[in-house]
Amino acid sequence: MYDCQTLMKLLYPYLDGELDIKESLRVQEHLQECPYCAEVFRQEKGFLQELKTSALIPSAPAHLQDRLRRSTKPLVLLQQKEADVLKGPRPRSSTTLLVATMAMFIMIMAGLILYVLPKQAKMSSQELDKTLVEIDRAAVELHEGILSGRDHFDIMSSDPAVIVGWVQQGLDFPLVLPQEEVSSMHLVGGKVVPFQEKKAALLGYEDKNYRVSLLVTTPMPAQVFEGKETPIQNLFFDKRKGIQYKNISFNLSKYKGYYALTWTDSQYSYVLVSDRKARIAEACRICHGGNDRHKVDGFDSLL
Amino acid sequence: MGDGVLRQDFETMTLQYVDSLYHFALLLTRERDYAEDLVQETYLRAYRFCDRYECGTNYKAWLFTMMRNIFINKFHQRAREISLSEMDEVKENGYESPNGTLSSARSILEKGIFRADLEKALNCLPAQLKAVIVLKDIEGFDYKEIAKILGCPVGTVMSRLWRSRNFLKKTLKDYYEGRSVQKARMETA
Repeated sequence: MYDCQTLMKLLYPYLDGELDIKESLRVQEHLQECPYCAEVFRQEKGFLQELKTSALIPSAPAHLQDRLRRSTKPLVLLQQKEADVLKGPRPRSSTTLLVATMAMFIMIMAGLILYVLPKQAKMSSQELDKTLVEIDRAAVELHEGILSGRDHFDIMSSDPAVIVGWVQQGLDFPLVLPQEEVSSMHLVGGKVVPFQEKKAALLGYEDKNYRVSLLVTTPMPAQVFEGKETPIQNLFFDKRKGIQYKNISFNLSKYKGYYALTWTDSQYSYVLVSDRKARIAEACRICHGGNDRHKVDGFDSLL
Repeated sequence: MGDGVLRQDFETMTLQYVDSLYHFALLLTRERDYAEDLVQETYLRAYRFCDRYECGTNYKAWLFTMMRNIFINKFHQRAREISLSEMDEVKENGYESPNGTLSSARSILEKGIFRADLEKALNCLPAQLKAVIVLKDIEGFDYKEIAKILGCPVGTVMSRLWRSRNFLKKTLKDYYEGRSVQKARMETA
């Protein structure tokens, strides 16, 4: 039989139902023999019962359930799309195929006439400057709007898949975000914003003190700079406005106290905005410091 | 690999625990906005990985474990702030009898006071000790589940339970003998 000292050690495991049958029986045996321990156990049982019935669980805010339900919608849509892809295209009749082919041909021709051909004409350098200034300033305004609380992200999450799932629905270009966490900055939210008759994705990243916004849109005409490939660190210390790195032209500007780094590659135009140059450099690591296809070799030595 | 939760059942199965999840998120983050974000992160992660849940295990405990992991991994700064202030201020002490504590909850009049006092006493506990009380006495998890949720050994859960329950008994006894009950009695007189 257990002694009183051992029994006190087993007080809570017994009352919490953590002992096996053999141990429980030995405790009960002692309690039948020892009125002191029996009284302690009775009082403790009453106390735990009181604790269970009196402690209140604060109710979650009423809007939280709706927020949660809404938050999975993009993922549901993504899964449906994935399922559709796995199922393959639906069988179509030959008439439908003929109509679809003709419609596609007409659309391609219309696209060539309305969009591609006019773009063949080169923009003047003033026009290019103006466009760059516009995209910089638009990004800064959006960044400031979110920081001041005037504007909000459509979806708040640190999960890139969730953000992409949501934002992608409003975009007319595919958005890819790195899944790997390599920077001290993490994703906080995203939204789709109209920009110069286009659509752009605005993404927010932050670390303990600073917020960086990244605006991604389809290619804007890029400023072309003369000269050879230049180390990218010059971008953050050089007084020159523009810099070129691996055939990509970068433009660093300042507006309303914020720095905006703009660049265009073959697929997209980007603007990174922050109040510190160092945060912009750190933000580059999000996409280019990891091991995925965006990796830039020796990234750390560049910055 | 687990058997998973069917996606069509996910919403019903998970939203039934939204109050408990929010409560635990509040305990971890100590701020409503952070808590809501943490619940949403947990909900989304659970949705994505619900096929990994092992049927027959405690689904609520699975969600709570996920929440704590997200808190540590995604809310770095907040987690650091909380852990700094989490130095255990309640020292290991001898056994505290619940005798005086129980008498404070005897009558219907005092029941409400006991509830308020309990809330106050719980809020005086350091976060790690409050967590074990919430997980055991309010949410009803077993020791192993609590250890998994908090990422600590079962022995630590047991010693924290001992200390936090002792602290509560002592504090509630003090309240009973002191100001809160007398004040309430005077107000109702």
